[in-house]
Amino acid sequence: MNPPAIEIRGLRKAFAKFSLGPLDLTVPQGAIYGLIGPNGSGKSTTLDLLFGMGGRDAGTIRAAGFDHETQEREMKLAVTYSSPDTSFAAWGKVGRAIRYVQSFYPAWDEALCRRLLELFRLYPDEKIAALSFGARTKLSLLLAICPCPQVLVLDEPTTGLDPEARQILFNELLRMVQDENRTVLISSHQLSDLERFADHIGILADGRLVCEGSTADLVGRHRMVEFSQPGGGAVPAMPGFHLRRTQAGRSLAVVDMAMHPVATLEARGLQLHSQTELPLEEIFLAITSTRKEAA
Amino acid sequence: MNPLTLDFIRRWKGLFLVQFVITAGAWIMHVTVPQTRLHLVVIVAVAMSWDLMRGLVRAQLGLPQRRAAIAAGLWLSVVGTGVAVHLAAMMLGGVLLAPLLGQAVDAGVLGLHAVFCVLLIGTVQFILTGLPSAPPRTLAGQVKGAIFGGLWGLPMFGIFWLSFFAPARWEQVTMGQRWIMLIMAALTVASWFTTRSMMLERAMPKLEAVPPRPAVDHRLGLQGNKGWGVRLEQEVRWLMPFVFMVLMAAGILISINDFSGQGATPGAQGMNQYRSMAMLNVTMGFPLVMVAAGSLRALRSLPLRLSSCALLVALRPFVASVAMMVVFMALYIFIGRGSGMEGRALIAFLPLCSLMSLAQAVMIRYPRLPVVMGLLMVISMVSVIFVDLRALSLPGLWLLVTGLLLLVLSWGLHWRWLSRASGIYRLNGGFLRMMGGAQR
Repeated sequence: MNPPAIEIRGLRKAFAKFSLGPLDLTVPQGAIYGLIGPNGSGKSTTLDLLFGMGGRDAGTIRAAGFDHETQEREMKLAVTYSSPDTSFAAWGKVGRAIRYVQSFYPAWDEALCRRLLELFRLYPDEKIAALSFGARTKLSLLLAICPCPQVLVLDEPTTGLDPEARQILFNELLRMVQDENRTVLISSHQLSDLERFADHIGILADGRLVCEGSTADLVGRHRMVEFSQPGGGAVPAMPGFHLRRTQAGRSLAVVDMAMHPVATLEARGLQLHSQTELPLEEIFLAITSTRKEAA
Repeated sequence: MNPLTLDFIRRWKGLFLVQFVITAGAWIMHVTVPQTRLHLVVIVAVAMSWDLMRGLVRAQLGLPQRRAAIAAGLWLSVVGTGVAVHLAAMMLGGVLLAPLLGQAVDAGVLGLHAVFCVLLIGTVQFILTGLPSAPPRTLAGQVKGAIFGGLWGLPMFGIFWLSFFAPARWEQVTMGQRWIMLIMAALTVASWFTTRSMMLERAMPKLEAVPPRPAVDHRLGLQGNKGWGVRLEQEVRWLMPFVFMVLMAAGILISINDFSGQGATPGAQGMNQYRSMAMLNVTMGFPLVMVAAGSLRALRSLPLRLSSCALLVALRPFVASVAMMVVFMALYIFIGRGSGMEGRALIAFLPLCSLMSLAQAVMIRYPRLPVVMGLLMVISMVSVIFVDLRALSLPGLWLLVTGLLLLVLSWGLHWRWLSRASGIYRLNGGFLRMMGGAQR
């Protein structure tokens, strides 16, 4: 079995108003892994810590087989990062930023760089500070993809991108992971994109990983269940059962059917009327809003 | 009161309070006019704080108010409020309190200083309104940007000039100085109009005509584009605008000195040339530090060890300062104004160059205006007081060692804060967001 592309164990980082972890996260090799979570749940912090942008309080991080601290340079040669907060404006022009970043990577794919420049309609002579937000994102993506990394880490890669650019990006990512050794970790709020392209999903809330699994499994095992309770009373809170609303005696809940098969629900006195498949977005909303209500 | 001005005062009340206390204190305790006038440096901080709120104009234009009212509010915020606070502090310190301590200030000295204060802040406002809001895309825009970039180096020199050269009384003002004051008065008046004209540019900086896009440059990918050679080239390119700004400012400095009849003689005046160079270093260095802070995230994601990354970041302001010194001295020697103190000046300024690096570390870790302003004042004071080349008694070796130690300390601080502090990687676009919610 291949070692994981990213392995995070017991990661903790405390800020004044937010605490991350303890977080355990395993990104399998050769996968597109979608890390999702509400704003401020710790996604960017996790990715930043991977790249040493701030110190962790506890835990270990390994990526591409390297320790992120003691083998920092080796790790960063194999793992690249694109984030909307990264600014290359200090290098002035697009071409200069490319040449600067290129100089660090022996495996830089020149042909890919030219192709992405044309596809993204970026021009080497353009000033970075004058680029639109979307174009700056494209540049950041180009600079992360062209070193041909073993692991590509993308924070909000589709923010500001038009549909065409998003299509180009995901095509490129799929092309990358065709090589089974390559892995992509994406943190994004575009759940419809992730549902289509990601093999694995991890849901982060309040600094902790609350749900994880293969995308097909996660989507396949959750159902929107319409039920009524002849005996009346409230359904007790239980893991994997997320009550959405109750109206005129009937309730809707997002249920993890692997944890609560129909027979179990009926044994609890619920009368099931229907169950429908759900998009990832609905599952995400159900899981995170239940946590919020519980908090 | 104009709501924009009121908002500005509320937002920067702490800064105005500092300006008031420092100015009043300076006039209460004044011994010589130059010492008192050095506190004019606060005015630059007031103007800078306004410049950092570039996103404000866009927000204001969306509100139901006339453009003229917005422009008036913007101008009054800096020139009106800055001058009012300064004059009030002067009155309190120089007219009311100083006599109680037996330090009576001559009304003529106060009056001329008040005029200088108005002209200085008006001129600073004029320069700030000319700085480009976005990278200029046209030749005209680039020329304008270059001119105002060079002019930006002048306010600190202006304070230095006012402190040490400008006469204390009306009757001592020479004809050349009167002309300079007249030009500053014209720029102060012009700043009212330029404030209005720059509003749209700041609100929608990309309105400039865009030239046709070039084809993708297929020469971009250079074979063997790897290693330190390329990185070094990029660092030099990064320094180029800085060197250009220094040359521009130095040229204007020389012209002003000649015009006011003070720069023609080398020797003693040569020392002042280098003093002003130290002030120029501070003015030029701060925007560069802002740009450097914005690139930390990009640098940190590259395959560089933490120690190398910290060293690279720490060295940038140091190298920029040294480059500025060398360019400045070379220019003076080239035009035959060498004072013979170049070697001494070079050694004397090394600790100051390291100090700029140290200041950068502190600013990155604590990106708050009071911190930046405090550092600005400290380095300015050190520049002027420390760099008295004739009185320099410390052996050169000690200065070299001090400079080196400060640089090592700066490296250590950069190292520590780059590894520990998460917030410094969220300074997108430099300090602007942190310092005033601004957006360029």
